[in-house]
Amino acid sequence: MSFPRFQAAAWDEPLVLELGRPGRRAQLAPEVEDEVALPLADLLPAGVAREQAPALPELSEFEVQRHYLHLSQMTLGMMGVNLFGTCTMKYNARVNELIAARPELAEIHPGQPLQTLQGVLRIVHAFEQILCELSGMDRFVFQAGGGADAAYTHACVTRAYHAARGELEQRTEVITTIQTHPCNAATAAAAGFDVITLPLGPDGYPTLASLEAAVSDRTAALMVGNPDDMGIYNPEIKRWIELVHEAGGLAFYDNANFNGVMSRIRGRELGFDACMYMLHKTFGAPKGGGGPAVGAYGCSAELEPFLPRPLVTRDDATGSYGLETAAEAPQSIGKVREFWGNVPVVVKAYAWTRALGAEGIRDAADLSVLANNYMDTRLAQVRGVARSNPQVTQHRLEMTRWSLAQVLEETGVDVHDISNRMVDYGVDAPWLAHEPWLVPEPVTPEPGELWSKEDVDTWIDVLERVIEEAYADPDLVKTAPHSHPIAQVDASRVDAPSQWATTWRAAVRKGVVPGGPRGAAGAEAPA
Amino acid sequence: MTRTAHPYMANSAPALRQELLDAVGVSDPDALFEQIPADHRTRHAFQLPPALRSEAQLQRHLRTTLAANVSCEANLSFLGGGVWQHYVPAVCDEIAQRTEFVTSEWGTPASDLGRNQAWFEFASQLGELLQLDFAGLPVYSWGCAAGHAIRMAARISGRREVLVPATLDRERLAVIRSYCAPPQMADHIAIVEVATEPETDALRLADLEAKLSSRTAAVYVETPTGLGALEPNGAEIARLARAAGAETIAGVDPLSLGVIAPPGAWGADIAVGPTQPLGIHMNCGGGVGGFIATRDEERYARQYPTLQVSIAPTRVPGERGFAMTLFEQSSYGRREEGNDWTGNSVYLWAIVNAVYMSLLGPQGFADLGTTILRRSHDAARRIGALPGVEIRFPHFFKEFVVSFDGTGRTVAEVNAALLERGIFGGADLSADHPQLGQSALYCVTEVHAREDVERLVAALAEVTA
Amino acid sequence: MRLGLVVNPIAGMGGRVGLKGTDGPELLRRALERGATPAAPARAARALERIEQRLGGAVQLLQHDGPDSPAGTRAAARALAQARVDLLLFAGGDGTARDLLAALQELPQEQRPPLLGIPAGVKMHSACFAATPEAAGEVAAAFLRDGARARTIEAEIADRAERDNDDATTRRRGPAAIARHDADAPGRHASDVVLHGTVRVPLAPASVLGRKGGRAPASDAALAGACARIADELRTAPPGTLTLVGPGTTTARVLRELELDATPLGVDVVRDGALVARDASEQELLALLDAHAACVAAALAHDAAAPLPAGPRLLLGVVGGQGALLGRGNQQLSPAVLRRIPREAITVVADRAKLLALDPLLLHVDTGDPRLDQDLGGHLRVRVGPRESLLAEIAA
Repeated sequence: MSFPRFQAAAWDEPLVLELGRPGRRAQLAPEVEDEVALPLADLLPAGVAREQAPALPELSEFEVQRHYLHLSQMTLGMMGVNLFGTCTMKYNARVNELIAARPELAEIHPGQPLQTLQGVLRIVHAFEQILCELSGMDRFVFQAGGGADAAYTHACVTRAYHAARGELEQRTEVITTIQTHPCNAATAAAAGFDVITLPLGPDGYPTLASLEAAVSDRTAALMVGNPDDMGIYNPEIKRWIELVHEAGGLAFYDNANFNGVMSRIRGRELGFDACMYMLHKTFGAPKGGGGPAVGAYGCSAELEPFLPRPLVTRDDATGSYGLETAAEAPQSIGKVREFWGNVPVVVKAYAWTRALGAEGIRDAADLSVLANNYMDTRLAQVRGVARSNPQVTQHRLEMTRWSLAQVLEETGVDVHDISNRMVDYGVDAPWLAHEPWLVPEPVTPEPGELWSKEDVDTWIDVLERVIEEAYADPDLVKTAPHSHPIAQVDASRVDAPSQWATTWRAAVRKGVVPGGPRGAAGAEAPA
Repeated sequence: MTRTAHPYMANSAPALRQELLDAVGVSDPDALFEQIPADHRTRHAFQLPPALRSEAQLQRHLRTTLAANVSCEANLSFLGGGVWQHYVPAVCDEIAQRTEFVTSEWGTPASDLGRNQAWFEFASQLGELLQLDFAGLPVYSWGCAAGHAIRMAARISGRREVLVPATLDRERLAVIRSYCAPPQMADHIAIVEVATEPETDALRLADLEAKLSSRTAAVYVETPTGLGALEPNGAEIARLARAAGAETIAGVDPLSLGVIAPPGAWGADIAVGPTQPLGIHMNCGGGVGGFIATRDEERYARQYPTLQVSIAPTRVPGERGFAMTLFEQSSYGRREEGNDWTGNSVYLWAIVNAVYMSLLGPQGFADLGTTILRRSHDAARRIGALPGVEIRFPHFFKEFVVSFDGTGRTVAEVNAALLERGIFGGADLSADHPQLGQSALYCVTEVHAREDVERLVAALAEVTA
Repeated sequence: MRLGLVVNPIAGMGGRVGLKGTDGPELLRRALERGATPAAPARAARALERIEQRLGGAVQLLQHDGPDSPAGTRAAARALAQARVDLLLFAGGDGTARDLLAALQELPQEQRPPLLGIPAGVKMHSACFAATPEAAGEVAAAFLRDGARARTIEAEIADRAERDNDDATTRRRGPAAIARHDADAPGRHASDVVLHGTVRVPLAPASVLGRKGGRAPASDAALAGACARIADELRTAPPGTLTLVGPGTTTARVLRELELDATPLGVDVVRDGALVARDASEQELLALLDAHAACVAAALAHDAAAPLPAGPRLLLGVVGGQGALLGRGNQQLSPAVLRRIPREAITVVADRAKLLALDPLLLHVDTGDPRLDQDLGGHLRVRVGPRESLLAEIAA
């Protein structure tokens, strides 16, 4: 085994608010001609002018550029090996970024005349067709700003669907499972539904009997992921959907874990009425550290009237593209977000599907499942690492959940400590598990199709090394990281009102700036 | 399969694939899908467009397809209404393209230090602009921020009614409507419209007083309004709301705050607004984001649905780091018992917003605001001087309503004629706001030079003659 | 910051040698015969190490060494309480917790320090234990540091009845079971769990736990919301509706929402927003049920179209930490009583994390009538938040 020798950049970078000197400028506003340069008093009604200038930093342009370049260098992310499970780390092709930065995409306004938007409409339409192919659904809409927002869209569509049938007052319940992403439960509740959660049964997925007990004439919808984040596929899902349909509810497929089953299963064929894909995960668009993202929401023709608008349309006679607005769709839920969605993300996802094609997409699924099973064979050999749901002996799909409970029990080192130590080797923290933790001390790596066998080996070697360290020198691990610009953060007090500070002005006022304010800001700050 | 390896997939090299198959002990990846019952597997013959495996082919296809668009750089544009054309400094574009930021997910507080600090700088600088001490990471859009803020106010007060201006932007209102749930739902929040003054678009105080009651959770007021007008009575509105036990939610354009009084100064309790003006391209509407900020009081802090970054100590005395505060009240922490929900949002844009605010600085915001006010008022004055054309509301920042009623032309006709001259005219308000007749919302910012205004005025003179 | 520590050196010794505890000299003797070694001191050391990491020298530790008998444990608790410790940390199991409870109950309410258990026993049915020694250290450190701001919640002290202390029945292994340190411990099912009383324990602040998908934050807002909503439902029930309220801290919270003075260890009965019986016996319950039935019959005879008083209803909590629903600590709810209440009229409320800690998620009923137990079997919704139910299976 060889280990990456790693030392993160450490710039000791002050906050931008502590930098600069009065009078410096990084951007100048265009000046107007003298005859237009009326005094503000002539342009603003009485009492609305700002009296005190905002305490923003005053820097030269280079100082701003250098500051943020330093911050980018102190962000590990995908610069090492990153097998962040459930998020499907992919190559985010640079060419897509360059395309998206061109004015034909960056500098267009959604309210432009449609004849000036034909290029982007064509791509959105073509991508909708691609997702319809992959899922079997009839329509897709890209308005939702992330996976959770797509789940919320489904909750809104569910309200509209049952309202149209006069059953909304009666259908107050959404059923989900304990291993389905928490955003499903959260958005159903935010949309006003009561949530019934099914626990896992002996085979690693909830029993049919528990679903039967939960389903009733109050059921509005089932919202469920499959396979789950432990890599387990519910083989009874078709029967589940039948049960929900018989009760008059809708079935929503949170396809967060689509990567391992792309082109092998189609949600609509399983019976789902609607589904969601995350374009910033499965479809190769970048994550941006948490968006801009797109939760692509697809549904059957029956639900199409309720979709948020606009929808992209194509006039087959002329080959031109258009938009169908809410005014033309009286049953539409209206909007979950302004405009059509994060269009550049749609373009990048479209580009990813075009770069792969049908065969490439199937290949990507195969390789991601193959790589995960390769990890399984190696991880099973690592001391203190146990596979969750050991009774499920079949091959897992694109990820497997592991437990390091034995390491904690025997060394006092927990998964947070291990994450903090792995970053010392340039391997960013692994995903643990969504709330609630059914598996103690969970770790959920997902290799996907991007990472090379060498990368995967490195990741496992690093985990193995850190576990060895936990046994040999637990303090080394518990006090990690040691190769980063700062030591372990003490978050134990940030939930106390006197200690939290989400802005600089609050931090200075409360006196909670560790080490005190620096530079010019320090000189001016109250003692 | 002996195809060439795909550039995005390291293990698609045939030898590597075989190595993995051997290690796992299967001859065909099919065997790995044993969990999926046969009758679940699709027999569908996928009809996808052909692969463009070389980057050169792909780039050509995307470039030529998008070439059918006409951008606001190619044409002269006066569109606004929720997404606006502003100048994006080059450093913003550079940082927005940094692969470390673009591709990152979630690491440890130490390995994410740079990004966390940039996020903290976003909230901190926004706090300075707004004069408010507590800010969350951004949400999807201004409308979503307003929707969340209204739900925060409803949770704080236990009341279920929100007062909004009758002329609220229809796009934003549609989003707010979704967040307030239909009447059949137990947690429905009723949206009650308050009339606005036909001369100024300011909230009509008498109507506000009449509609404020013990049911009112919040008054939602904007400045500039959805029709671009400045609200002169913010402080009085906040006072009336407070007297009725309601929260005041202010919707503001952060770019205006170098010259316009910030919501924290006139008594708003919760401020929301768009982040796109702060250095983000319009992106066909995909550039939008929204912020939520308040005073730093538990009453508000404990209702945030967002993630918040707090400055925090490390194990080393005097050393700074950052941590998520009040994480457990988000949907990550508490599933369905969280405050609404959170997830991926527009966090990359938050970094770019931070860069933008640093680039402008206090004087930059003042100067830019002044330039916009001067340019937009000059444009309005010249347009209003055309025969039959009228500017509806005298006080505005960068958007103003132009009425074409006196010309006998519809906005659709005017805009079609402008388009022939390479100009995107202002957004047509006639369907959404019929009381304004044939009116359009024009947006004039620092991107517009004097000759742009002159070109517009000349074109309007022709097409309305 | 004053931290009291009690380590029961013999706690947990029975577990690894197949016994259900070391309560009593006979079990201890057998444990020693089977080669048991003390585990609690090492587990206490792990918790202390974490506290030291977090607080350094700021904490003053008051320790009572090796109380090796129930009387010794009680004496230690009294001495530490009198020394005004801010928190009483102990390493042991249910037996130790019971002894501490007994000692604290002798003191006036305001002199009782909050209690927190480092898990070191074989039996841990009580709700005062942290999940691991390290977690206990984190919770204790946060509690001590937060001082006056620190919050506590009520927790049940429960234990298995002593007559059943004998060799193990094999624990049913759960679907997600990873070999935990106690997974082979016997007696993880609920038989004979008895509720002995309640203590105050620190409410673990979420900040001591993981971020972004860390361990379940120990906020009790969800449970508080569930109790409030159930209280609302009781408030808006049709006039005359009779609701039997089982024992436990959670059901007591529902009654507190209604501003009623509940009996935490007994069965109370509510009608029209008032308590019509406190700590009722089986006979009292049957009499009330008879009266209610007569009332319904009379109303029916009078006007078949009038709204009927609904019910009877039954509100239950999950007693102790092992999923006991009926038959443990609530024997007043006899088969005769339970036969009068339709299954769908039973509302169960519980803390979500406490339920999910059960593996598998089974609730146990042992009414003494096997046929009734069977009728009660199957899935049941447990209310865990104002908006959420978790489906649990009832096992006889």
